[in-house]
Amino acid sequence: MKKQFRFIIVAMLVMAMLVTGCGKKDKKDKDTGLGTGSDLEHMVIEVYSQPANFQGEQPGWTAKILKDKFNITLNIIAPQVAGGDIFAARSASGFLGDLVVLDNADIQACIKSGLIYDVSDHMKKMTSFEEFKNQLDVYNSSLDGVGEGVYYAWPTEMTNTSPTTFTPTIPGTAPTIPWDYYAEVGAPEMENLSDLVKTLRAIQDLHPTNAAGDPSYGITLWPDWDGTSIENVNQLTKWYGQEVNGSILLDTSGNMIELTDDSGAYRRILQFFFEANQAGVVDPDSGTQNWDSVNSKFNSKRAFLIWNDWQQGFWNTTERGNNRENYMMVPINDMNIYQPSDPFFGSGRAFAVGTKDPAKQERVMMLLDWMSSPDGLETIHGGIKGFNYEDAPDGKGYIRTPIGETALMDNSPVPEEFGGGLYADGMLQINQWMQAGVATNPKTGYGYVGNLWPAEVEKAKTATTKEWSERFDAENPVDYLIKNNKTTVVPFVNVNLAPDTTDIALIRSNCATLVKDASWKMVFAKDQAEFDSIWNTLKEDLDGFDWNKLVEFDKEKLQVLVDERAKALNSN
Amino acid sequence: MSSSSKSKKMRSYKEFLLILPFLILVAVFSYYPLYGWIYAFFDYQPPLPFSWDSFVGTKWFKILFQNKSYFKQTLQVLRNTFAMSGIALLFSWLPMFFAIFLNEIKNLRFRKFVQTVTTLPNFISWVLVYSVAFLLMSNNGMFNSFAMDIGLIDTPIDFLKSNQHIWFKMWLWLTWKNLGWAAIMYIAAISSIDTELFEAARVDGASRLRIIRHITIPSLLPTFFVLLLLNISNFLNNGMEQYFVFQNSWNREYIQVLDLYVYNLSTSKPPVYSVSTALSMLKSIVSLVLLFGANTFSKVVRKQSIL
Repeated sequence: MKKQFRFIIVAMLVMAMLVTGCGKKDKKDKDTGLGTGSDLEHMVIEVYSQPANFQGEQPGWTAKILKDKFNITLNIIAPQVAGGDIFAARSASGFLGDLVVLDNADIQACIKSGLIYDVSDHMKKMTSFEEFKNQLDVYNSSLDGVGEGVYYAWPTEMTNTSPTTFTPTIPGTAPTIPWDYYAEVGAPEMENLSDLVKTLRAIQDLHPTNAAGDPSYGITLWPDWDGTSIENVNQLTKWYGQEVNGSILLDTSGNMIELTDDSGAYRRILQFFFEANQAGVVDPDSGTQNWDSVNSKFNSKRAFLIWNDWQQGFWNTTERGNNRENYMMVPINDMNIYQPSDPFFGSGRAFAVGTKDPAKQERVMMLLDWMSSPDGLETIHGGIKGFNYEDAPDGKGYIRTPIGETALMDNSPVPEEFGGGLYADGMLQINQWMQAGVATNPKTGYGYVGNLWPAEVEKAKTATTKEWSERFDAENPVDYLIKNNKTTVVPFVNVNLAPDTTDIALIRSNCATLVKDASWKMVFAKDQAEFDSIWNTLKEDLDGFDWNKLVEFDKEKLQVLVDERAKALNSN
Repeated sequence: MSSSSKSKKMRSYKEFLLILPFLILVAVFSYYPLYGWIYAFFDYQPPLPFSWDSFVGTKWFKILFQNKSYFKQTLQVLRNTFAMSGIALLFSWLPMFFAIFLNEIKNLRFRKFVQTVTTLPNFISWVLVYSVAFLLMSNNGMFNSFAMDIGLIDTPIDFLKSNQHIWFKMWLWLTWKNLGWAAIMYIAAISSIDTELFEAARVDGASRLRIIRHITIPSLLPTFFVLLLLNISNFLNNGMEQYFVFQNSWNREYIQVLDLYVYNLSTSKPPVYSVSTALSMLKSIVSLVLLFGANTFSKVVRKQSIL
């Protein structure tokens, strides 16, 4: 009898433990044995990072640097990996992370709900923020309920150039195709998008497969990144001077028309993709494949047209450049690219401190201080000195080592002395930085990213770029665009735009599905009549879901941005 | 008070303690989450905490029916849910017959092999299933490459993009994944049938088909009805993973089921939690109605309640 009773009690205890989640978490942190020269007590810093693509403990060489410098281990929480619900769940629990990286709108809401903390006192002890005091003041004073001289957040990717400068040598988005193929089809001058379709068709006729024998296409698209509309289309509307902002097309002079305007760039680009598909140069799997599959296609030259600047990283190397195989911008005569300037005031997200514990706050601030110092930025943008790059022989900044040129693309192994692991895996997985790579490094006088170093600029001059320069009579693509009046630089302002109310969010969600589905069907429509009819039906259907209210809301919201841009232009 | 009633009382306490852990489990995992329904009556926008200022009453329920387009959307989603659950329900006898026929296989090795092969897909996640589907069925996939190589077709068939027979295709994927797993219950039920019945039937000269018809099937029917009832109560719950991975702009109109719609709303940018909670609440209520409806039906037809 007694025995039975004891059994029941034990069973209940076991159950109770199961229910309450197996007792308290083991607070003891494991020593990773990386060896630390620091006297600081070891801490695990939880980082909630909106842009992170990796969840878990920061691995590799960056982990070693952080351990050596601050005796911290980063535990990264990535909503992009864990799912968006984690934001609601964690904020309901009252703790997002010790360090948080959020979109502007969320920063504002987190101040209201007490999830991030005023760290003005800690700020005074930090050294690297001084240079960006202006931007910090502008940003924090734009937040509701934040008094003067109080700091809650640091905008991401600020620069020390100017609000109207555009530093890079290639535009954010532009028609870009392999130079050898372009030359092979006679380097045709292209008046408009129809000519681009013809060029792509000619290339695909000559190269129906890549070197490995897999089918290649003029254009490959993917639906993974679609928001209110097809993201790939959104990137191309900028070629014609309009940027998609939710339900609005915003042009370089601040005029707004709705996304579904017949004369707008959104329809124009859909028409382009439709014509391209009619010509047989669109990858038929475009609407159903995911990014992974696209990724492998870009890596193996199975798509001829790319647009975003970063896409060149999938293929372009110095060696291929010397074989004339690199992707290069090819202008279309009727385009005028909408190009935001360097993100002088920040890029639309911000860092903030989400821990109450003063000791932790201090450590997080030390990390942020380092992340905005030249030392930290060199590491974040350039990699490991001695592995990725070294001092240039002529003393002008740095030069990449041979392994440094391909370390990112190949995810090369890193020597044990730097922390081991693979290079790309070991990069700072918060995936967001304090200053943009185009900011000037006061230590060298050149930008932080490798392609702005004089030695690298020299190296980047390959057979491809030389031929390109001869053909287009310009030093680089941006130089060409500016000389020929084919781009308009708009000031990149960092403003807090009004967040959606639930009513608007519901309209947006329903309309987004309609717009995306119709857009994809239009690209693959069987003829022009079907294309037009889907477009017209879309406009009718949208009306039923109160699309007009959404347009009004977005217009009002974006007016703030337009006004700030005008201010930035005038003040310059 | 007599000592016997005292010990009886003591015993009932003890027995209550025995079930207490399970009551706690049910309370925590089945009843506590219902507290979340409160979100349907507020204008909830994370990370802002709840406050009475954001109380909106039944606004989100009304919105689903007030506007013609929303109403149409809700109907469309319900149509898809009913259609696909309906097809699954219509074919819910399939695992039973699969189990019966499997049981008739006399070669033990072959039987085990078939059973393993059909059960295995149940353990593959839908995400992987889609990867396999993409590799097999995309324009450059195995099937199209093969069919074009041997000259069967000239242009690739776009299986994934097409919305033709989409409900049936979805059912095929589901069956491929679930058939073996669903049959396990029936295999167990068959093994519990008294072997004397079979022997007696055989002595009486019954053929295999007759044995199946007059012994196996009738013995399996109670199991079948219990499972059927459970399926009915899950009618609206046809899960979203499958449709989530297979959805694209061409088939969404036919594939977006209730669960997926709720998910799509709550993961849109920004998320619309309140409305999706309201929708899922409606779902639970409809499920309850269906469950009791089916039970009443069973009471009338079989004179026997299942619940």
